Amino acid sequence: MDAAVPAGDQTIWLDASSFLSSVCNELSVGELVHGENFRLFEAMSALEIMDPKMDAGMATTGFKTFEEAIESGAAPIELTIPQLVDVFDHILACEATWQNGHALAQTVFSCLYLLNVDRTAPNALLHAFCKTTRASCSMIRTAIALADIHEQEEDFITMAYGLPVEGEGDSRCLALLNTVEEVVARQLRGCKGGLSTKKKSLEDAEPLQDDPALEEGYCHAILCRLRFRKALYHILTYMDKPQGRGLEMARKHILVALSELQNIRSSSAFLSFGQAPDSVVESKERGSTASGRVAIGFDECVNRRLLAPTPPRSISILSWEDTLAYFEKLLQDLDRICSLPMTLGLEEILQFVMDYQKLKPDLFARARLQLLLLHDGKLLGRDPLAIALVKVFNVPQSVMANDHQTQAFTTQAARVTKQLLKIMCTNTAWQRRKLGRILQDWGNLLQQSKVTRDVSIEGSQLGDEVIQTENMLTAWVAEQTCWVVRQFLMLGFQLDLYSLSEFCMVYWYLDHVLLSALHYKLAKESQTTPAIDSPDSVKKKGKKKKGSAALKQPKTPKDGKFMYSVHLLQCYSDLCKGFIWMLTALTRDRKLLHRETIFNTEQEVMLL
Amino acid sequence: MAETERREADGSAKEADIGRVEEEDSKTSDGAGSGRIEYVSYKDETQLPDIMALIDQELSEPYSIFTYRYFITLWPDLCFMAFHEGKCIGTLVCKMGQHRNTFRGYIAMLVVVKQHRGKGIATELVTRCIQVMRDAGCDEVTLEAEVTNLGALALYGNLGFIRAKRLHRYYLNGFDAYRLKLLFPRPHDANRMLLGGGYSMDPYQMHDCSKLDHDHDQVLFTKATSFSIQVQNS
Repeated sequence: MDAAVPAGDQTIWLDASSFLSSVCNELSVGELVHGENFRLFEAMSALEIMDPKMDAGMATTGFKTFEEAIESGAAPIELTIPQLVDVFDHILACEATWQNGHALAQTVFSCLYLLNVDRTAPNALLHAFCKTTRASCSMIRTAIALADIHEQEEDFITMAYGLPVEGEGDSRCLALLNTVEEVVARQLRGCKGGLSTKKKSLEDAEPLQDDPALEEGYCHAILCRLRFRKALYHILTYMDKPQGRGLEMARKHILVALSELQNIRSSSAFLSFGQAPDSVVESKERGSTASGRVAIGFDECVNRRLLAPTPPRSISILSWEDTLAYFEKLLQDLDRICSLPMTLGLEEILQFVMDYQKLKPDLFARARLQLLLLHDGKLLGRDPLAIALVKVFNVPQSVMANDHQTQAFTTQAARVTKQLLKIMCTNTAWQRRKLGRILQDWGNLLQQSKVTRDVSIEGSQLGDEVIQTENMLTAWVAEQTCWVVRQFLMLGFQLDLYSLSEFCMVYWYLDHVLLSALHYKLAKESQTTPAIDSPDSVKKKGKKKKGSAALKQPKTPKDGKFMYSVHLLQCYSDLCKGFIWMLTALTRDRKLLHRETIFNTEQEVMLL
Repeated sequence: MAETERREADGSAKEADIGRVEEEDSKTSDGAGSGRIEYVSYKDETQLPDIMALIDQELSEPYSIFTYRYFITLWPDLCFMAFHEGKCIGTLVCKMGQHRNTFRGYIAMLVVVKQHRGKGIATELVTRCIQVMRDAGCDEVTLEAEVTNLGALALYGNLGFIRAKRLHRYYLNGFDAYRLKLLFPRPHDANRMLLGGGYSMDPYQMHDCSKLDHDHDQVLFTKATSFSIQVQNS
């Protein structure tokens, strides 16, 4: 028995090597011994133990644990100012990398300082920065998890895997940050004042580092980073307030953040001074710090054991340029959300979201938007969707109160619309797939809007209103369905899904959808001008209008907008037809070659 | 495949259309350059080391031997190899099975060594495999390919695959992937297309809805339903 392998409580170890090799020799070519559950998943996730390519624990280089790293001095608390700036920069780069979908353990928490923030207390600047970073990351993570648009996207994992993502007293990070900011600001003023002018008392102006000539530059560098960190934290807290209450304040801080980002950008020249310029390496490939030096205190492998049991992979942290670009874009995308007027109606909101997606916003921005739109399950956190829809439908009060079918329809419509809004906030690839799937729901809703009515109320005044309501509801659903199909088709262009031979088919579908939408729009208009009173006007007047008695609503603003949208649909439709004709002509002229594919024909392509 | 990466199996994206068709017709049994390319179907485990070595060398994902065994043991007739002067220079590993309500073939790994790329070898391997799948009764064939892998996209595009879906950040390097799909012709589809109000599927037919010569609601609903059924199946 091998003395090197200790026996456990209920276990004895036996050496089975010779047994296994003789059994192996018994197997003939092609025979395989496997457990009952040997299917694709098991086959794919099987790892060969002790193969460093597969077994994450077998990596022979690097520190094995956090404690080991600390003891070896990988994360000193005493840092020079240049080193501190590098740490700040690298943390920002890690955050950007993390938000782009990489594991927390390999990005933000590859920072040894963040793995134990309390330890950094002696270094006030480091401590304040770390605490605020952790608090910010926690807020971002929570927001994304709540919005729940990341699940199947596989671009963000919210689980913490035991990492210290939250800490005691993180909410006080602002106070710490303000304190150190004040100190550095004072130091900066002192520098600028110059030695010859004011008298400086020795206690309150301790230089950040040794070289007086560089002091001002470093003060600037530290200060703008602190202020950026603070502004970011503020933005996160204000945007978290429901019903858009914090949006105005958030915008102010976004402006601050953007300007500090500019300052950070301009500090690069100062910080990288003296670094050997590498003309071969493009600026993008240079490191993840402004100075270009590698930051101290980071180790990607220390959390190895916290990662999922997949083969080990190294990820590359974003370059400094990309980090700055990421935050700039994020701030601008967040600003756009903040500009959303909280008074918008449902259709305008849908339009806003559609336009917003053209900016290609990243996950956090989209999560923030979705949380704003559907906070607490209500539109903009205020109205339940059913109420918002009633306003859109313009359904008479009498019908709404008395007709069960209309009520049921409205509830159903609210559910489907909420789903649509949520889908509109996901990334475009996922969005297209989901849009395709919810078409069934919209089709069902369309059917539901045409349910046959109870004969007994026909002919009555309520009956008339019910029938007209039904037509309006049908028209609304039909238009929305057209919108969904149209979005589905258009996304295919954005996602580059269509090949040349499919264009004709796509434009044909698109044309049909546009003309359907037009048809419903026109139908709806021709029915609503013999006025159905809106619930508000009924209350005011206290009496109901009969049948087709005309109360012409003020025409001008509505008419202008209506005619505009009609013309636009017509134009789009004509464009599609134009494309179809052009493609046909090019094909007939053999300028475009459609190959014969040996396995299927155009028919199959159409079906897909 | 969750983590398969595909290299440029065929750098033929820029080749002239006519040229490609002719190459396919000749079945590339006399490959460009010296020596014939021999295509064989998988026979037994003695060939497994060659396949593993080739795939390990060309693709960056580490696969355990179990992965290979899973595919090749269960579907040996879907595994093909290309030999040149006795050496294995290309291989293809696939599977097929029931997926929801379709019988679907899936291309898992495709590799051709660098020196022999651009000769249509990969296309030939894939073509043979698809034929086997079709004859075995598959309704369709799918695979994933990285959006930047122009060679693979061209290869499959030429064979009639379309880009059915885009998968966001599918690969660990953050790149998106396309799900490529090839649908085989089925006899009963001709009937299916006549549903929904007698629409002809001729793409060049001008359709003017303003004539209101059909019931839009009915058509829209049917179209919406059939649209979504097709999408659900993809």
